[in-house]
Amino acid sequence: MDPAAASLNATPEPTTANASHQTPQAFGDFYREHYQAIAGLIYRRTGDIHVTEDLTADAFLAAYKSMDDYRGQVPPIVWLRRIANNRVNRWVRREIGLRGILRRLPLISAFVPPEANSTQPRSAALAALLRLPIDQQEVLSAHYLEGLSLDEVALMLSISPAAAKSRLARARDALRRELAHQSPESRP
Amino acid sequence: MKKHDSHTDPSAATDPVDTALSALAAPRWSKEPDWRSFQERLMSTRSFGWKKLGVLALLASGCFAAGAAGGVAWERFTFTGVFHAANGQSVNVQGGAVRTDDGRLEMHLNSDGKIDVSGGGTMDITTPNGGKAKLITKPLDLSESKEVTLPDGRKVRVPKEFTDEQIKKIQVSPNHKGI
Repeated sequence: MDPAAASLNATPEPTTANASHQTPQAFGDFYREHYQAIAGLIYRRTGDIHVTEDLTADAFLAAYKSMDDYRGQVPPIVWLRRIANNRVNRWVRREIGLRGILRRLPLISAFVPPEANSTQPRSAALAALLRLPIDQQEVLSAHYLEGLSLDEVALMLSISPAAAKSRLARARDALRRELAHQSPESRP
Repeated sequence: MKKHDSHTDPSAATDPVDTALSALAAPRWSKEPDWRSFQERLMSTRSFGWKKLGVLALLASGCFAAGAAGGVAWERFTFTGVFHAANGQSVNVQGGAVRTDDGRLEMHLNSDGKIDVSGGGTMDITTPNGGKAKLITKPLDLSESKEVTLPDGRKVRVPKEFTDEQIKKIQVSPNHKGI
């Protein structure tokens, strides 16, 4: 083999409608631009700083790996939220399970502002939220925790706005039942 | 959290559902993006091809130091390894790589033999700190390279765009006879 100096340039070529996110430099910008939103989304649903860091990295890694499949059908942030949402759903279903979640809840106190009485309401609310079916968790999270409109929620979940609205109503009812179930007054 | 039309009812303030949702929406993630950690995660993914390696090297963007996941510091590293040419030939190699200002990974190789690399191939490398990687090289287009004569008289082939200054910096193993 020649002892040549091999100059190797492997920049990927943009291939999709949203090519700007397919160059390494652009993906770095993309990561920085959306990191807070995605980490916030995950943190508000999991309540665990370490899980949040892991899942956020997973979500961006998945986005990075599937860049070639992204065709710009939805805005990049929506696409990214879908990925993050799926990661959280998977975490809830497979890795933690209800018992694990309940065991972890005391950890939440370490990650919320230390103001008096701020921990308990959030812990109780998160426990109630995590007991709901996944589809109800994600619709509540998207609308109330992330502040998305019904149209945006529908786009993110790939459902119609009407379906989003009715799912949201069912989720609120379910959350109300869960909160009532865990309130001291409801205990014998 | 945005205000929602469905909650303009004054009684909503005391609704336990809204109270719970407000509590859930309150936390804000204030940590800065950990770009370096993310890069390390990318680096640790297995079975990447040459194209992806190039991407990763570019992602390193000047702040990546030794000790990255996978053990290879993509910013600058030396290595030993084996090059497996597409035609089935193999040769031991040693060399170094450095990322250039324009984002390319510039690699210098010495080998203990001569094989035809025009069809490309793969190269299994190990860095001094134990890092391992597999590089997949594209077929080389000889029309994109040129033959030059080193000061000691030996001839080597380099990329066509190499300047005299770059050629002067080429370090060729004294054991190599040139082409």
